[in-house]
Amino acid sequence: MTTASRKEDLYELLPWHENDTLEGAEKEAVRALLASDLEANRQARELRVLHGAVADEPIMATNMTMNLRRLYARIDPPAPRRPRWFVPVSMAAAALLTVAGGFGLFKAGERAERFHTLTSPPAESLPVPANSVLFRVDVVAGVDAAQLTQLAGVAGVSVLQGPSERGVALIAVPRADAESVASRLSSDPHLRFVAQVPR
Amino acid sequence: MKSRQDGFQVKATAGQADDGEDLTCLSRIALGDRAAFERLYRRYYDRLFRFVLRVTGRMNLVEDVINDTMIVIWRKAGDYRAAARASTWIFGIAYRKALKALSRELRAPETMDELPEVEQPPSDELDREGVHAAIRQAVMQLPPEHRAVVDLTFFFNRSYDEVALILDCPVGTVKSRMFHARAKLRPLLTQLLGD
Repeated sequence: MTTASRKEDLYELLPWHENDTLEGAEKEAVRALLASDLEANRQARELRVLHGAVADEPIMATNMTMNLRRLYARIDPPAPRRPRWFVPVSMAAAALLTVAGGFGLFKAGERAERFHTLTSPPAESLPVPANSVLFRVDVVAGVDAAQLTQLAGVAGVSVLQGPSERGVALIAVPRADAESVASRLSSDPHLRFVAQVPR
Repeated sequence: MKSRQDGFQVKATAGQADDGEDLTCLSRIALGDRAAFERLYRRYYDRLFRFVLRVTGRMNLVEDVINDTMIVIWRKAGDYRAAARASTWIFGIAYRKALKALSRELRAPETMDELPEVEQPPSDELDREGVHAAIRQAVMQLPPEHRAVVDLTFFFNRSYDEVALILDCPVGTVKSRMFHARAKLRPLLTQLLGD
């Protein structure tokens, strides 16, 4: 490194000599330069004026508290305001969903399996013989319509529906034989349940 | 002038002593402590206000940049590593936010050549306050990166290493920016000093 370039390097350090943040060898080198170099002293005077001017500037800080409030508003943004129509529309949508859900469940139940209570009449489409009495019966597994007819033990008994997977069947029995057939079926171990149902 | 220099030294020493308080605040902020956050905000508001105003040169940007900076501190306090002073980390965030805000504001970045020449008043017409005002006006004509170096050096009394950390650039760049800033200010300073 030449003497000239060394000097240039030290000139570059003068600002930090001015603010007193140089340390060790650099500080000593700049001090030594200032003790002997006119140009370094000229620059140091300039820097002292610059330092004084920059540090002398009054701070024009604005309202810190107001700005802090704005900052908190950014950190914790308020919940978005709902428009006036939001509540009635959301209630209507909820009601619609409830109705649609109920209808869906109803249809799903219908698809799964038709169910008749003991007192419910058979479907109108079933061919019910005239002058007959209807019985709902529950048979054990493995009894089919033909066996059920045989178990009734009289002529003219017809199986209108079933037996279903659960063993439920609907049979029509001539009115004259209704009492004896009901008694026989009730005591037969192939049947778990026998009850007359209205037409 | 001597007394002012002494004042700088006192301020710088106090600033270093405050670093412990800054570290305490940052560690509590990392845990979501609002009171610590507000304490740090109040400790830094004036300093950041001045620094951001110096870098951007625009009053309308200052408050937003301060809040941008503080939001980063609120969210990233846990990322701070004490390799540098806490204030160096905070000023570094503020510097980047200030440059970003300024670039949004200005479609084309300012360059030294595009800036108007500073009108230099006759030195014999100026008192001390007038001289200082003229110099500050000239400093404001420098590019933001150069203004930041001048302000961090002469107002915040930072070493060139710390300036480099804050501006996230090599030490050589800091020295180069200071060199160019001084070259730009030299005609005015020479005239004011009557050399």
